[in-house]
Amino acid sequence: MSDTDGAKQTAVAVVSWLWKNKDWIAARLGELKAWYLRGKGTKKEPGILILGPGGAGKSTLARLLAGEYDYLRDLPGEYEESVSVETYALKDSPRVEVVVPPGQRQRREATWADLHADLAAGKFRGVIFLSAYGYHSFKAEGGYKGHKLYQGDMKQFVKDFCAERRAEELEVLRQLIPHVQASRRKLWMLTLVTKQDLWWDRGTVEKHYRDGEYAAEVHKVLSQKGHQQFRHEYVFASLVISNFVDRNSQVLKKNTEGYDQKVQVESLRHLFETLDAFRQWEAG
Amino acid sequence: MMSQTDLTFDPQTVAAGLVPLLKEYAQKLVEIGTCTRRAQRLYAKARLEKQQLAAQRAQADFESLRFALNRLLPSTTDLSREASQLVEHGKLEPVTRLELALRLAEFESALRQTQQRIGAGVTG
Repeated sequence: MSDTDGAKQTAVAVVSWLWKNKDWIAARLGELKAWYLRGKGTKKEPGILILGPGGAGKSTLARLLAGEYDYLRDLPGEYEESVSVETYALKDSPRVEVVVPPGQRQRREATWADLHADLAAGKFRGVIFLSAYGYHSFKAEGGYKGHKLYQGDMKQFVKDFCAERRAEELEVLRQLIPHVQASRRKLWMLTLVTKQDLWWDRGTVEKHYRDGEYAAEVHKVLSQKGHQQFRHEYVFASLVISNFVDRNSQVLKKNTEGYDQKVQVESLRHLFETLDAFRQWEAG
Repeated sequence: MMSQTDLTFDPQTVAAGLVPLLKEYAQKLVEIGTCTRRAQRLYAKARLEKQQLAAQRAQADFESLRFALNRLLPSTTDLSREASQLVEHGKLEPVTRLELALRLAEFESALRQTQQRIGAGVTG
């Protein structure tokens, strides 16, 4: 038998084996593709983690960063609670993943532990902590009258509700800070105080975040990591303009008079400029 | 005509209705998860023994389980949201809040496990 015949025979054997096992091969290739698409085969850049209590606007922000939020189609004020960890790709850097875990107290234990560990391991370049000066959307059955804090007066309820939610913001921040301190990489943190259209009183609100217990927690990280390894900024903005309403569309607080789209756009511009500044700081 | 406010329900009554629903659907999700595991095992065994018909049957079983889960998903998400909002905000008796939180945790972990199992595909 000549060399050519031998090679021909081998080729036939290989093709016949491939043909015979085509289903098995297709299944293995499918598995390989699924594995690759799950992210194990791709090298991702460190992501951005968006944290904060439920109803502060985390998903809206993530959709905005991913270029998925449509101001003409999405109805402002339509709150849909997130029930699991959501991931988005940053619009201008698709390899950067934006991770948003649900903010409700009962889901934090289950979903945040892994993310806190990832943060400590240096898998995130930055954290955006969302607050809303207590104006957290809620959609519980029974509306505001069915809320655990309602005592018969709507104005008092709004006051008590926001105070309780501000305490919740602080509690969530205190859970986060040790993991930010533990992060192995250079890290930035943005405190984004949303729903500016509802509390448009820069003095009181900014003071609450810049001077109070909130700032003291952030300062812990700064004093431990130093300015070379940690940078923190505040942005006060409105992702959407909407009255504060309950499940039954009962208006609990109207937008602040004079807060228009121009003011909102300026606040969003400041948000994006700050994110750009973080990007430059990362490179520097 | 009934106004929107008339359509609201007492949180305590709603919570009492949600607890058995969460329990029932947590069990259903666990069952879907168990059947999925069985279909995946049968598929793997059939592939190993090169039994094409058995593999196709296992794959068909798996696809119908995937369909069943996908069909349930929108409503299960709503159920999760309703319960979670009540746990966090509703005017509930302490024991009801606790029970609802526990049932919700059970339900969501069953949902997550089943979603992961089905998401892994017929090859597991």
